[in-house]
Amino acid sequence: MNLIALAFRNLVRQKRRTSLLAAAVALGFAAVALLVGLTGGMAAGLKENMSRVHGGHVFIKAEVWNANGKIVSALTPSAELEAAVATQGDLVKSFHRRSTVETTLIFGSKSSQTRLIGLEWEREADVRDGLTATAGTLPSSLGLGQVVLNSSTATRLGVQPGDSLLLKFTTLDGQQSVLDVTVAAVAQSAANGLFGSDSYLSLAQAGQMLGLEEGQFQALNLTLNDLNQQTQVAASLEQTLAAVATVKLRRDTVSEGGEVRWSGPRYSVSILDDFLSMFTSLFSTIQSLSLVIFFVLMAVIVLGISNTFRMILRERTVEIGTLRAIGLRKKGILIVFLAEAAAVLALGLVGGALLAVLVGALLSLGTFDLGNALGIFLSQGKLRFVPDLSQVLVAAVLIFAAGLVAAWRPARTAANLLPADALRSRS
Amino acid sequence: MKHLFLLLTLTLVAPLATFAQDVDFAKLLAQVDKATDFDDVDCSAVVQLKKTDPENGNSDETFAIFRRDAKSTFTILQLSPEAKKGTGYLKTGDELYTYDPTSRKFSFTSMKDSFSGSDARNSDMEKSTLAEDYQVTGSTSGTLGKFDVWILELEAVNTGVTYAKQKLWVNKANNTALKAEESSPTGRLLRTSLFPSYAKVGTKLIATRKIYVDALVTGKRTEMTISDASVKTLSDEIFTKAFLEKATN
Repeated sequence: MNLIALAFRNLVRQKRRTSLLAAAVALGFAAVALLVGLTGGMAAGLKENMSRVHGGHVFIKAEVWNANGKIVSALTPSAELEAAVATQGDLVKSFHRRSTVETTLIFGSKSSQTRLIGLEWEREADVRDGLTATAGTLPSSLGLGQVVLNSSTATRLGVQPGDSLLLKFTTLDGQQSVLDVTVAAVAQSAANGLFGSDSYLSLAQAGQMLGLEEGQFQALNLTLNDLNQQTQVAASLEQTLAAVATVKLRRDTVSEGGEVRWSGPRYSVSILDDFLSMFTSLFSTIQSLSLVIFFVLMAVIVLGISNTFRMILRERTVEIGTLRAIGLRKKGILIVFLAEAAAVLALGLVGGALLAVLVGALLSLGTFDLGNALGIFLSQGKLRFVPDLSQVLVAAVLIFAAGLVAAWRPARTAANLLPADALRSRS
Repeated sequence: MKHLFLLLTLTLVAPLATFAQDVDFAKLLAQVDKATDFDDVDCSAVVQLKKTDPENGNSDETFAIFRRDAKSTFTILQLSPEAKKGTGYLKTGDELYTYDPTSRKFSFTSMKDSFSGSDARNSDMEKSTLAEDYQVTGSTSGTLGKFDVWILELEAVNTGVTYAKQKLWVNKANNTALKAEESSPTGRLLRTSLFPSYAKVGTKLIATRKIYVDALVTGKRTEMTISDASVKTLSDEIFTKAFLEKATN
């Protein structure tokens, strides 16, 4: 007797019940897969945006003692630095020079504390690509006395492209100074001012404001070909630089003043993941939530399958008796029941996967407003669907196994029925 | 007779005219510092801070300040409002720490930073070091209200000071600063400071009212009123981190 064909016939006999059970499994699995995929997409979007905000994946900075006996952040191009970067070979895709000025932007009676990033605007296509001009057009070059403001700051101050602003800032020595600048454009980024890191001026202007010497800047940002290589590259850079200069290692704790004096630059290397640590707890919470949702859905699926197969057992008692009477063994009955359960589960899982991909793709098509804090999780305003296949596979296997376990008890009861008792149950 | 009168006039006026050039302004600057320092005694007082900010709103805060100028140290403890009570500042040597009573942690900060978000700087809370930080590049004699003053143009001798340039009005009668216009390296006015009243504490003078006016944001200013000034010797413990920690427990 072809047991699989028998199981298939049983499923087809109760099309509605089979479809409903498979749909329940599909919905549960789709919910889990979607959650995994969207969380993955958010994590990918976050890394992409944070990389853009911070201008790279690995960051080299240097501190020096200035003439006033203070430690200031200033990086001077040197052979040792070039050599250290060169040793990374193909791991490094590109590098950018940056400086940062903490300013108070003043426009009439309004003011706003804003961090301005000094960068080589013409060279940083990634930054320009990540910005959407909300007023004016993004300039092809950024000259002295020009700033590109993020839209939230511009709105707060009520400024438009072409307006003159007063920048109040502090030099590296701590001296107060001011500068008149013109707003070249107002733009919005995925960060949306979240880290105060999406307003820009030219690297040369930032250097002048901070009091850096000609050619100096504050950070050398490296963009890697593979984001997952950041720890390895940072460790290698630290090692290479430590052989020729003073290095403050990443594992060193931050000192509370009272530094021991050193000569020349003291390099430090940080990585993008250092800045992402603040999101670790958020993603841990989402993962815990996903796990809770997964177990709740699995319990619902298990309960559904268990009840359905108990019902099937009641409906088919006489049929089971007949099959046993004409020679089908206990094992055969067990196989028929489990094959039915496996088929429903497989159907549900495949359907659920297709549903998750479909909904994920539809969500990815939509463009969301960047003007909120969630914008940092979007890629170019889109919610990406990036499921971790191993997680999805584990979820599928667990659901499948749990479903079979749920069907096992009614299947075993069916198999253990005595043919005579089963046939008598007709009355 | 006419010539004799002219000669007599010149003889009498000439010494007065050359007086301005004879004044040692570097020394005068040192005297301005000296007039308000407490190098030989400790000083404590209560400081009331009235912040006027058209954008962020007005607020009043109170602090207890303890100075030991001989060791260039001070401790400041915030008394009000309740939300910020216990916030502390401790300057020892060149280092300034702020204490947050909520997290119970100290952070390293700069003397050039704003004092409690006001128009005053942390450096305004310690003794004046004009002679050390500035050189006189110009001077005129004039009046400020009812006071006869020297108006001094000052330029920083190092980049370690908050303001690169200053115009200082010094009371000729007691060598106290009455007004200062503080500017950027390019000469742009950043802040105007007024010191309209002084009181004698022991043998020294202390400005009992200080007004700091932000020259860039219209209507933004901070008024500081100093009261209950005393030169009683203070316990060494006051100038320690432990004091600030205990003050909130």
